[in-house]
Amino acid sequence: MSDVILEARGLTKRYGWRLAVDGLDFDVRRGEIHGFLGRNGAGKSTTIRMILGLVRPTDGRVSVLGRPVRAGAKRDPWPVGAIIESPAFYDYLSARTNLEMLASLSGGASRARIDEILDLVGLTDRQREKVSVYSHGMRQRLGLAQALLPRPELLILDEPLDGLDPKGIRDLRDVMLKVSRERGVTIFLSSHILSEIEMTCGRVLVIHQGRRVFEGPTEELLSDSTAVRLRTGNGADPAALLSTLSFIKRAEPQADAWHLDMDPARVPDLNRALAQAGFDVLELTPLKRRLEDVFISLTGEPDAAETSGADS
Amino acid sequence: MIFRALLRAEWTKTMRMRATYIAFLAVALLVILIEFWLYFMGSRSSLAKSFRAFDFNLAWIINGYTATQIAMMVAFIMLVVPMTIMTFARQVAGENQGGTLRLVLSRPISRFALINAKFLAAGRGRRGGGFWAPPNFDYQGSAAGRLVRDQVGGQLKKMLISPWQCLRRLALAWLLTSWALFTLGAIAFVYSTLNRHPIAAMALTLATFFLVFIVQQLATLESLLIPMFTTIEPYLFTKAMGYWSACFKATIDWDEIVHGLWLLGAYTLVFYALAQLIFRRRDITS
Repeated sequence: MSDVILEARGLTKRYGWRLAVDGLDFDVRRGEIHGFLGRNGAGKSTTIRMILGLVRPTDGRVSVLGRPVRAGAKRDPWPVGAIIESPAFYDYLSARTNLEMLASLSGGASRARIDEILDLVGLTDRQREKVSVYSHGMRQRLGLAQALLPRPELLILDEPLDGLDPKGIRDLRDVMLKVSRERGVTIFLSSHILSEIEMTCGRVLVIHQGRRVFEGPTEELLSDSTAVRLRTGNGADPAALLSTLSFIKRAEPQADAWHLDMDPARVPDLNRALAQAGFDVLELTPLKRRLEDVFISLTGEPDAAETSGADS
Repeated sequence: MIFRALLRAEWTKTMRMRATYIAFLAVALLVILIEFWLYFMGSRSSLAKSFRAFDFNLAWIINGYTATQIAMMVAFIMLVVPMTIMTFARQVAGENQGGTLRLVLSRPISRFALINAKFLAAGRGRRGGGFWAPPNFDYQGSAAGRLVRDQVGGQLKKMLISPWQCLRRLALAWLLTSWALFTLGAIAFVYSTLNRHPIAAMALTLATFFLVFIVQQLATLESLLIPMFTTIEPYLFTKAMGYWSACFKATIDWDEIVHGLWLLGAYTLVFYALAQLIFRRRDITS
């Protein structure tokens, strides 16, 4: 069985003159939680819609389990569950009827299976109520329930944490981690909550203006830092020495330490130079970057228009 | 299998919507009101009085047959047409606007099967709007009066028909209106696949209906004979939509009914095929 569950090659979508997605290549491997990041309008939702066959690519292809996805065509088998933006339901039906109806369109689900899923997302007690009275968090949980119902191998979640309170985020995260660990479900997770991506995703794909700017392990993305923190003792100022070392690009004094812009591989050289110059080195640490900093460095500072714009 | 599931799902949605029942009740109430008006206001209304006068000769209080024809005509124009447009127009556009269309389309189903199910479920729901019709027909046909009044060669012809024939004619008229509504539904479906807002789809369908209706009226104006309008007039769907009234003539005009059946069927087929094509080809959820 192939290790790659989702594959995109040269995926392109053009709306008139506007290029929403531009030749995107990426792989999602079986069993991993794969983050998907990009600013508003970067092309995340369009990419997800192409994966789900809702939108026809202008060029390129996407395949799930090695089978190409064709928009509008019947897909059989289709081991994919999805939340696409805010999950919408038939408000005049109960949560259970919604699930029963959606399940029937994916080959059906037993009563026991629906009970199990409702229990998993914590909606057992409210299953007979109409969805119109549901809170946003409950709708999100119901969204996850409908996505999990057909026992998917791949779960595609587009902003599932959007608008949730901290407890809601934690609950939903717990469910995601549970299905990933216990059932081996692969998750492709798009979210604006970078701390969640950092916490849950082993790999991450970052896109900007429809193009891929990074794809790889989250750890690699975060460790790819040029920041080093230096703290010296005995009251001596290392400024003069630091200015003489060519591998230090910039040295900024902070309250009790120095923040250096340099290749972390040269830390031993710096340590040696400091020791030879008689400095007591109390701390010399390559800093791990925060995903937020990396994200902004990859995609640029957010502009004002973005704050109100929806993703395409 | 999946088509049956789709059909069942669409049917569930239609039957669980409050609007469906409000629509049914509105039609039923309108018909009852018309019948009561004919019965109680007979002494004040010359139209109603004429029905009563004719039927008193036959020992009936009211001519139920004619009352049904009037009720059907009013209900058809005032309520059933707008409600049909509303039902069909919201099938795709309404779900697209509400966001549930992408939820359904992300399932392993083909768009071809989905739109077929939606069309059939909407048609079935709308046709079900006439649920009041059989008991109403039964009452009108067998108890309230079966007098056919028709102008034949400039002369008013009165003819008493048997209860069975009366029921048969009324049931046929009801089926023919259903057939006509499918044409309107197909037009609404085209606009529903083109618009994200059901209101826009409804407005465009109504606009199309009235535009064609105006052309039909202009074509019959002797003071304004436009050759093109006169040529196309027999083929306009609005003209054909009234073909069910052929059932209320002294002798049923089968030629008119067959012409209407074919013409409306062709319109339905063309518009429905167009809706299919748009729904399958267009990035409807983007």
